[in-house]
Amino acid sequence: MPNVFQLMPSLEPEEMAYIQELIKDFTDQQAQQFALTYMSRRKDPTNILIFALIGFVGIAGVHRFVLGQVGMGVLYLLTGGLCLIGTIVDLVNHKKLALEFNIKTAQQVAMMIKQYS
Amino acid sequence: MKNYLPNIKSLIIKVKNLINSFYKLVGLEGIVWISALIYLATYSNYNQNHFTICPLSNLGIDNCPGCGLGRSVSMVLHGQFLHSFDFHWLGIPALIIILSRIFQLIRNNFNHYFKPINNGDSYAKCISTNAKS
Repeated sequence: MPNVFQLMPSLEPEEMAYIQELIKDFTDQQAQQFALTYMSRRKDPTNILIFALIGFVGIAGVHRFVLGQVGMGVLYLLTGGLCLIGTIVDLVNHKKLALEFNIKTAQQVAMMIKQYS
Repeated sequence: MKNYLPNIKSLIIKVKNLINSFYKLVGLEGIVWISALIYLATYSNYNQNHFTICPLSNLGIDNCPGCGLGRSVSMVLHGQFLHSFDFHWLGIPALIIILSRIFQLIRNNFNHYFKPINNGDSYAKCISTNAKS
């Protein structure tokens, strides 16, 4: 059973628990491949925080575009972060947003690993 | 009097669990969106600019880009679609986007917390096995 803490020590705790559950049945080689692919594709919560902070000085909603939510991104862009309230909420909530994206990415990567190896 | 006390306690615990599971289901973001929609649905004085929750207009900026959209969504929730087009043409799409976001959040959290991926193990068990190994 591959240990996620040895493969990817820089993950958030909740994310780590999810990925441990996801790669439970993988062989060691598959887990190595998963770690390489997933670490290059995941988004860091700190980067999301910085993108959300841009909303106070210039264009709001960059983090929503980065996370792949185009509809919310356009809404933030045209309304200045929903009158700044949306930007402040996303500052508080940036770890949850990154976790949501990362879990989707992890599921995609796991599916790819199962298909192609 | 003494007989009622355990009932009240269990009622309080039930309400607490209900609130907790609701918070787990929608998260902080969902609670903000839902309360914003409720605020807009009960909002009625459009001309009076005295008390708003918009921080930009409270700072003294007159041309706030978001307030027209808020009034527009509010008009849609009151059922007056033509007035909503007068305020801002993005009112109906914005309402659709926010509602779809709320549903997406509920679906994600339902899959995440209430149905863990492989055979019904809860997160606490997973974390404890992590700590052991």
